Amino acid sequence: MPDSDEKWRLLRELTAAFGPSGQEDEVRRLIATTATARADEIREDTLGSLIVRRRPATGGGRRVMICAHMDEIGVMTTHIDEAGFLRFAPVGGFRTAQMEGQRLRFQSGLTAVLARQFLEPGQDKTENRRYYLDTGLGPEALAAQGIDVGAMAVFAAPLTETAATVSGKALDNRIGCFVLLEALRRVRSRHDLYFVFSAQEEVGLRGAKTAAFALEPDAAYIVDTTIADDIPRNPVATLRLGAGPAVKVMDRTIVVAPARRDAVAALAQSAGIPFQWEIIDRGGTDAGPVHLSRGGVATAGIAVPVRYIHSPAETAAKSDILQACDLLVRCLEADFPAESG
Amino acid sequence: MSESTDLLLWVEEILAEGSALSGVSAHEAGLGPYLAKIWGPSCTESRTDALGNQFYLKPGRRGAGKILLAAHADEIGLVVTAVDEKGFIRFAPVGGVDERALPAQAVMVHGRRDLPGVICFAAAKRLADKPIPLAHLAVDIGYGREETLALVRPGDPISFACEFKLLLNHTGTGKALDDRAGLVVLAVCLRDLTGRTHGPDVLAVATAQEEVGCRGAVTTAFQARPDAAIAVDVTHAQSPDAKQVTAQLGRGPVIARGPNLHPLLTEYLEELAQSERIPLQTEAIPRATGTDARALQLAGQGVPTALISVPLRYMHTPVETISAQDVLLAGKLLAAAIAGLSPDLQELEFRY
Repeated sequence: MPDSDEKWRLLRELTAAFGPSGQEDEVRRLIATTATARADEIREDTLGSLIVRRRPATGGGRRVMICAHMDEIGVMTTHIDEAGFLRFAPVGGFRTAQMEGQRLRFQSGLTAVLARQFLEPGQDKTENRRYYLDTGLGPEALAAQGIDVGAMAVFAAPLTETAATVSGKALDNRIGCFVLLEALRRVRSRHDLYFVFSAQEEVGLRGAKTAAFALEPDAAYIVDTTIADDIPRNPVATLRLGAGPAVKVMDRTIVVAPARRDAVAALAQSAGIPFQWEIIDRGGTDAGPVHLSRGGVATAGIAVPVRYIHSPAETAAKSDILQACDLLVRCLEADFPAESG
Repeated sequence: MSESTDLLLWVEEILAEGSALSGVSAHEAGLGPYLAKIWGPSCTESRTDALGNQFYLKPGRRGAGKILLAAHADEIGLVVTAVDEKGFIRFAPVGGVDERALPAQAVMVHGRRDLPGVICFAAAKRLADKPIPLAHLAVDIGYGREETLALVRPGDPISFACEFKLLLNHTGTGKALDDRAGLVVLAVCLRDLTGRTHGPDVLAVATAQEEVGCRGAVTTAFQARPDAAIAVDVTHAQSPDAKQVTAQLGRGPVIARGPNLHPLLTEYLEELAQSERIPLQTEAIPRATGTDARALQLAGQGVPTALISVPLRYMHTPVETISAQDVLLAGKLLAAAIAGLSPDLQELEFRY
C-alpha cells in the first residue's frame, strides 16, 4: 500500500487536471495511466467516458457498473472584445455572481481574473452578463495562445491539505475518481467490474446515460460528492464532514430502492465504517440516468460530503474519502442481492 | 341495474382500501397484496421489476399484439431529512405536495414501525399571502430527540393519515386517490374483460415513482415494448380555486388531446365512448402531460399513447375528492376499447 503522501499525491494530480464538461481529455489520460496496471480492458466511448474493466478470476458473477464523473464545472468563452476582455457562459453549475475576483485557468495554462464591469445605477449585479474575464492580453495575443470563442476555463486553485481535510477545485468529483481508482487497486471481486469515469455529468448527466445503455449492467454503484451542510447557524445539519461517507437515499434524480440502500448500510455497519444518509433536494447525479437505463438498473449511491461545492475551495475530510474507498470495496466484494427489490 | 349498483359498491370499497394504503414514491411494495386482490383474479401472471413496477398480464389471442395500461402505484408524500435538537422531525417533499395543505395535518411516519404524528410549526413564521415555508414546519410524534432517533431515520417516508370518507352522490374523499383511482379503473377494466374475448394481450402495470418524474414508466415501456399504451391518471376538476379547468366531477372520465397523445388512438376511444353511451369529457394539454403518458410515448421507437383521466378536486392534498361513478365509467370504457380491438391490434394503423 502506498504511504499517505503518495495517496494524496494522486488526488492532487486528479484535481489539478483540466477537465470541464466535454473536454475531459487531460483527466482521462491521467486516469487511464493510473488504472492500466490493474485493468483487463480500457476503452473510451463516443461521449468521452473512460471505461475500465476488471474481470473476475472465475465466472458466475454479475456485471457491475461503478461510476464517477470526471468532468468539472467551468466557463466557456462566448465573445472577445477589442480590448481582449472575454465574455463567457457557465458550463454546469458555475455561480458567476459569487465568483467575482476568482482566478480561472485555460488549458494552455493562461490564467484570467473573473471581474465585474462598471454598473450603471439600478443595474443588477447578479446578472451573469455583467461579468467578464481579464487575462491581461489583447485579442492578437489571445489568438496566438489559441484562445478563441469556445475556449473553456476552470478554477485555478491548487489542492491544500490539513491533517484532516483537503481543499481545492474539482473535488467534485475527482474524489469519486480517486475512490474508484483506489477500489480498482484493492478489490478482489467475483463480479465483472466496469469502472466508468463518466463525461459531461455537470451539464446534464450525459456520459453515464450512454455508458449504462452500452454496458447493460445488473447493478450499479455511483460515487460522487454531496453537499455538506454542517456550517455555522444551521440548526438541522444533515451531512457532516468527518462523519463518514454518505449512503444515498434521494436526490433530484433518484429515490434509491430501500433494499439497495439498506444493503450498502448493512455492509458499512458490519465493517465498522461510519456512514450518514444522503437526502438532498438540490442537484442530481449519474444515479438518475443509470437507474432508468433500459429496463431499469438496481442502483445505489455512495457520496463524500463536501463543503462549498462548486467553488475553488471545495473542502472534504480525508477520513470520509478513505472510508468511502473501504465501503465501495466491501460493496464490490459482496454477493449483492438480486436486481429486483 | 343491480349489477351496476353492485359494481359501484365494489368500486367504493376498493377505493377506500387503496386510499388507506401507503406508497410514497419508491415505497410501493406495500401495495402488492392489494394489487393481487383487485387485479390478480383476472390475470395469469405477475412480476415486479428493479424499479418496483408491478406487472400483471391478461393474455389475449396469440399474435394479436399487446396493449399496456399504466396507472401509478405511488403517492406524493414527505421524507424525513433530520431530527432536530428538540426531537421534531424535519422533512422535505416527495413529489408536488400542495404546501398550503400541510400545517396541522395528521401524518404517519413510516419509521422502524408506523408512528402517528402531526405537522406543527417549527418556527412561528407567517408570510402574507404565502404558504408557510417547509423549513418552518416539522412533524411531532410525541417523543424527544433520543427516543425519536431510535425509531426514525433520514429517508423514512411520511404519508398523510387521512381516512377515506364517502360524501354524497358517490363522491369519495381521501389521500392518495391520485392515483389509487387509476388502479381501481384498471381493476374494473380487467374484471369487465374477464370472460370476454379480446385480441391483444393486456399488460396492466402499477408503475413506480410517477410523482418524482415518471421514472417507473420509463423502464416499464422499455421492457414491455407494447403496440399501444393507455395511461390512466387523475386530472384537475373544477373547484373553487381552479382556474381554466374544464373537467367536472361526476360527468364521466376525461380524455386528453395534445401532442403527447396519439390522435388516432384518442379518436378511437372517443368514438367508442359515443357508441357505448359513456359520457366523456375532453381536456387539451398543449405540452408533455404530467403523467406516465409522457414517458410511454417516447419509449423505444415510439408508442401510440392515450391518456384517460378521472376528474379529481384538491390534487396533492389529503382530501383529494373524486366520483366513484367516473372511476367505474373509465374502467368500462377501457374494457370496451380493448374488446373492440380484436382481432388484431397490429393491423390497426395507429400512424399519421
